[in-house]
Amino acid sequence: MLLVSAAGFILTFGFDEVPAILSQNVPPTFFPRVVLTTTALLSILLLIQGVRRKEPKKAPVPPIVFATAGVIAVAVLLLETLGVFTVIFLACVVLPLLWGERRIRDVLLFAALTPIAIYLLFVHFLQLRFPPGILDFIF
Amino acid sequence: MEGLAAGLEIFSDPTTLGLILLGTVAGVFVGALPGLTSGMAIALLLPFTIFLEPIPAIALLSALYCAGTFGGSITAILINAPGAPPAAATAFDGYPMAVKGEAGRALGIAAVSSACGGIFSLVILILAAPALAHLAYQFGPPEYFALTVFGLSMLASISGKSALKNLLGGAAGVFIATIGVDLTTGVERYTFGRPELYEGIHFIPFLIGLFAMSELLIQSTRTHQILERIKMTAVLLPTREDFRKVWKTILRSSVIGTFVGVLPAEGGTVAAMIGYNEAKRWSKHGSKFGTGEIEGVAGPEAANNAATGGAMVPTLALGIPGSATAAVILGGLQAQGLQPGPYLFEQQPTLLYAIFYSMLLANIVFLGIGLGGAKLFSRISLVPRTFLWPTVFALCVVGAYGVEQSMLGVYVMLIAGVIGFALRRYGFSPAPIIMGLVLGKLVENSLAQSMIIFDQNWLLFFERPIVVLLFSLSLIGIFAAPVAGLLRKTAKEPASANSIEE
Repeated sequence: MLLVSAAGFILTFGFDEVPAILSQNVPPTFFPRVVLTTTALLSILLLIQGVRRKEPKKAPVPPIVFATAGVIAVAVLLLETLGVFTVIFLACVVLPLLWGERRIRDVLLFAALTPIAIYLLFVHFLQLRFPPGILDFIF
Repeated sequence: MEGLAAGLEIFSDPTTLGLILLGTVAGVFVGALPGLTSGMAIALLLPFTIFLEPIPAIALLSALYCAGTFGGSITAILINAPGAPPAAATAFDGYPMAVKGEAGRALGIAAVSSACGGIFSLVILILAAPALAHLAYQFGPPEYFALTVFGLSMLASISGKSALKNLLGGAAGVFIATIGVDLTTGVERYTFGRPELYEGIHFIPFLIGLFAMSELLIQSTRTHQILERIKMTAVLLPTREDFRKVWKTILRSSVIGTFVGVLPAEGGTVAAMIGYNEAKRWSKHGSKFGTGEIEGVAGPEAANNAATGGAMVPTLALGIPGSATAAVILGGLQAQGLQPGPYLFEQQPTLLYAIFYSMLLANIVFLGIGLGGAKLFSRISLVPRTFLWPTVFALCVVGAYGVEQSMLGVYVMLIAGVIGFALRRYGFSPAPIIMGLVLGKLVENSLAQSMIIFDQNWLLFFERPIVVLLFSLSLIGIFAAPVAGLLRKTAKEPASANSIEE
């Protein structure tokens, strides 16, 4: 947070300058700098508190979290290319299998029904539009 | 009072009635599922309420808020896994009651206490909110600035988390709110030349990421957990003897819950803990708490549901959320183009009373559901997590995209999810960040306007009595706990020194 505060503070020097009469003496840099000074001070206090009060070492993040985050990130990146419903179908197949689900028939049924239910509720009923991707011949 | 009658119109609108019922059932459902909270459910629903009229939209969210708080007690009692944080205290005595074969009695008393607490706080809402809004007419920008500072300072006193981490989370939320074009000068801030960021980070995708995506990552490590369920034949209505035993506890906890709920940032979890502790302190059987005492269920349940109505008082009257979930509802009001505060009461009295009636109806409906359908709802804990959380992911994507029909929302949701996971791992709660994000613009605008009014002389803040009062309360909120801790430590040290000398 200390680094983020420092970076944020440095970036304020790149903001466009405005005449004092326009900004009424409250320049656009004023508030971000006040907030970032506060976050920096709180971060320093937290750092001091951390040094004084030794916390037990945390167990490493389980690999399944990285794998899940990876699947989700790939799914989001493929959203425009493949389309929302295809990606939801694939995610509903891959995530349960990744998490140890072995009832393949149930997984496929679940993966097929979820995008259909979402389509009916959000596209058909609420009239929302989503990127169709490779299914643009249907939508 | 005209609005009181006009608000009754919701009962003649089948759409609104249907949405209240849907919100209540969905609330009990998500509240009962460990990991899914009413705040998260509201965050997921928020993008779609934009397409509804304001009254049905807010009625749906308010009903979900009330029912979600109660729903957590079902799994707290039956599987010792609180469906939502406010129900954590309910498990202390609810689960031992279930183990003793009194699950039905525990659920019955939880439903009745929750409904009593909820209804009590709604009466206070209807009396206090307009009075508070009337008081807010005297508020200028300096008072609003002091009020937002007070709201953020209360983050320091949320129990169970580090005060410093909560304050830092709140400040980080305020910082995120500065992204976008500065409204006074039109200068871009932290947009990196991206037009999509000119209007700032949209609240809803960020919220979905912080609440739901981060929880999904946490839940990915728990997919193999199997929770043991206690068998239950039927939910029992509390007997006259039970009522005689708990009515004072319910009343006391309702007052506590409403008061705690009214305080900015404090929510049902804090209220339930205090409600439980006070029930234990005043009970004739205090020493038996934790072994299955009925007052140990009534106390936290009445308090956490009373906090829902209480939390809506500052949310509606001042635009300062009383809890994290109320902050999400505040976002829902803003998404509808409504600005909570005194003018909302003047211009939209029907909306206020519609919220009141929806929450009232939700309390009555979940009482029925709690008594009649708890057995069914307890079965939702059997839904395999391997299927539940991919569904949540699908809803996250659809919700984050749906707000602005743009991929930016999905990217924001993803980044917020990863940030949320990292923060939660290091003991930060998402709630303060949300509070900061919601209040950010109000803090900046009121400070900027005050500085213009005062001609840059910030000492003039201290010439306004309300500002001085709110600043003093903020200081107490921030420093009360550390000072008390320091005093306790100094009191202990001489005592231990004396014992060593002896």
